[in-house]
Amino acid sequence: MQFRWRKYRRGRLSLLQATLVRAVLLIGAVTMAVPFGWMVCTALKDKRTMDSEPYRWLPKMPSADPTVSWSVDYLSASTPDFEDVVLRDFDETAAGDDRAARQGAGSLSMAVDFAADQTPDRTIDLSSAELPDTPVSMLAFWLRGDGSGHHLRVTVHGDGFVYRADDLPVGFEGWKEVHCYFRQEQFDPLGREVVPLRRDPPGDGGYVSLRSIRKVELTAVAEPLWSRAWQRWTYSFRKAWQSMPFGRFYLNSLFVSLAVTLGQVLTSALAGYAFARLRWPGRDKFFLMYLATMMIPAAVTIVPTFVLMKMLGWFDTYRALILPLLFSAYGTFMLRQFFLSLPADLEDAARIDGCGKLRVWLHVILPLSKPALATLATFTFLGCWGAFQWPLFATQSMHMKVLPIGLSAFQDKFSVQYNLMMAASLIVMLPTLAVFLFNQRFFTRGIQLSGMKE
Amino acid sequence: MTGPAMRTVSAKTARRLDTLTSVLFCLPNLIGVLVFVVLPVSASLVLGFCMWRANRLELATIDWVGLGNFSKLLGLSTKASIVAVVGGIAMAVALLVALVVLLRKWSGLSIPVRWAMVAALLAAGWGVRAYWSRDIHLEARDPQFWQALWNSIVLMTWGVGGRIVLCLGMAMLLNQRLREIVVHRTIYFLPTVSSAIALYILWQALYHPDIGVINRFLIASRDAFNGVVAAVGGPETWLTWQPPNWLGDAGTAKPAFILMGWWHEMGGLTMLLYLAALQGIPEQLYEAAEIDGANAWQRFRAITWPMVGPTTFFILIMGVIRGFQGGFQQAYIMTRGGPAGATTTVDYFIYNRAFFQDQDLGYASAAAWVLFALILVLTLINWRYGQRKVHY
Repeated sequence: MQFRWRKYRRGRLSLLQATLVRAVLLIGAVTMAVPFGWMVCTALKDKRTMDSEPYRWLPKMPSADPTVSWSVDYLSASTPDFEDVVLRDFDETAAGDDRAARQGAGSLSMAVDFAADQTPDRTIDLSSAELPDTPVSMLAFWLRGDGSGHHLRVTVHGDGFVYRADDLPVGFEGWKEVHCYFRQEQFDPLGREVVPLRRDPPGDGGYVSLRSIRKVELTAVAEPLWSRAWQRWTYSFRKAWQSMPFGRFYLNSLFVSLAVTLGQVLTSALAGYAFARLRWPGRDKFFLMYLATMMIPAAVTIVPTFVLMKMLGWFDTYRALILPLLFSAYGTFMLRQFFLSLPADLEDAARIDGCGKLRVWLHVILPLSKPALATLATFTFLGCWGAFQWPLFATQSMHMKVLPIGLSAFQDKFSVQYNLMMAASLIVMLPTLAVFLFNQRFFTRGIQLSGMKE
Repeated sequence: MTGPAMRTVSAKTARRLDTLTSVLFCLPNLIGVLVFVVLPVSASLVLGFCMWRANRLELATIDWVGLGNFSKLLGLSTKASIVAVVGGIAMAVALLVALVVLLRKWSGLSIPVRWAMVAALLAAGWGVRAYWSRDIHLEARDPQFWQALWNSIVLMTWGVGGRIVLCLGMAMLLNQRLREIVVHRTIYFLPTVSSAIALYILWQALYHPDIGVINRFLIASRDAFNGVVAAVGGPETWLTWQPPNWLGDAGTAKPAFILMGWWHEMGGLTMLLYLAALQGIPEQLYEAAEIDGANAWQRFRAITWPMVGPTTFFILIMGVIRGFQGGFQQAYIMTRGGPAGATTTVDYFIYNRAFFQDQDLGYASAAAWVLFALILVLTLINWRYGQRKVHY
């Protein structure tokens, strides 16, 4: 059976026929491509775009406007009601375990919502405010980012110094608490993420009197467009990659698939040679038995094999993932058929020259069988790379999972967050897709050697 | 073995040595097959007659239950009278015999007789069915297994049938001489090289009743249509149907799986097999047929279909074998066998009973052996009756 990827019928189509065929093929191709297209588009979205109503089909471009709009929640724009904030901060929010962090010192607290469509950069002028003379150790923010890749620059004028924190990253989703310390050390008793406010001129500030704070400036600094686009579009991928050890899954898959492929090709080539070329009693009966094992459904063998792995203590190890798959009747069958088609003369010549059987196998048979070996290796590798049932039952812990199992676990964890799920799926799919697109022959050439060969 | 050494050993010893080396060649594979195929298969057969909980994997906890597992799996009970049961079975057997006889004589019958036979068989089948449903109420001891079996049959039949039709059609389209054909072949092949699990997750999202793309599209089409109707003066909302809850509804879950399977396999390996078969058909056959004035359908019927017969037969056999064994991954990822067991195939049933639900390894093994027997019988029937239909 001959098959070539780039071969067509010789006859020419009439214009009408060609148009019809083209139309049908185009409709089919769109049907094929739309799910993939949706997958890519969804993976490129961040959470905010996912939630937006009406539904957005395409990922959102970051806005071209470099200054993002935002608002300060606790403070109204015209009459900053500081007393309220500060007192509230001291008395109410400084409760429970938070008290430990703030003992003996207060903090100025406010909320910044980047998502709200309000005025841009702002300065909070405190020159006319009557503030108590309390030592303040930090400025606490609640930030809500809009995913547009902005940084926030905070400048505080107090005690005659300028305290500044650049590059406060604005998050992508939800409210996030940021603590800017006047202390120069970056230690937080509660283990929270802290941002030091650097003093200009340098020196250890430690505490700042609340009354001396004259002005708080918040400036949104935009990154270049490409950077913001990159950050927004890769958000789901980064989040997915961080939420599960996909790198480990990759290594597991690669290691297991390579080991299985190598082992299977080796054992199959050895046995296939013995079945094809060596004469020994009971050979053909044995071969029939081998063929019969190909009919056994996996469901029959998986349960006892699982028990065997448990009893040997191999459950949840690489041994369990690799060893049961090393021996394939299919590979033996395929290689035997191929070996039978090789001319016997070469082998005889090698024998006469004094080669032993192993040498003949190694130096004559294997080099001649490269296409068949490559095909078997490809099929085995792909089969192993995509295998699901056995790895699912044979492993348990996170660090032993192979890619499909890891993806399935990811699905259990983020079941309706489609942007993350599609990103994770693409992370799993991209390598094989890339190999396929760059080397299609690699995938399709096996067809004439596998099943249909008589 | 060089010359002098050869001379010193007798022919018998040499033969033994030959056998030994051959066995050594086989040994790695043989040990593997013994340990990981023969041993598990035997163990599975033994386990089929036992009850063994997977949560306590000690040999001492194995209970011998004899045929208990099999009778629980396959057992049926009825409250009907013995006369009704015997009569019903006799009628069913008679129908089956008639079917077999008809199949054997089929090619010798003229067309009107064929139609008459089909009509008579349908009528008889309807009668038998009416009798069965009126007088005999069979109750399975494990309805879930029978449901799984039925699900497997439905998914397999539609899957294989659709695959043969779609892939052959696709192969014929993709075999044409068009400039962009390789691009099409590549696009249609994409699902085959993608991770199956990723695609199931993708389709689960596509099938989501509220935010899935398919239902969004259906609703958008409906609303657009309603808009047009309203614009030309019709009622405000003419169409009021709601899109299906694909994977959440027992009635639509299987069709959803079948559709997904078709999308998955339309341009895959089956299509490549057909493409290879089509490329192997000598062009002269078509030229001769064209000279004789055969139209497209006649050419397909008389040349293409018989020439791809062996491929179809191969796809059919493999499809039946794989179809009965398959369905775990889809069910596990997309529905966990639900809703109401509508997507539980035999495969999923076995693993579910072994590892998730009851964790009874004995019962699962018994079910696996029933599946094995079923596949064996179906394959034999396929070989027996299928090969005659293939024109080489």
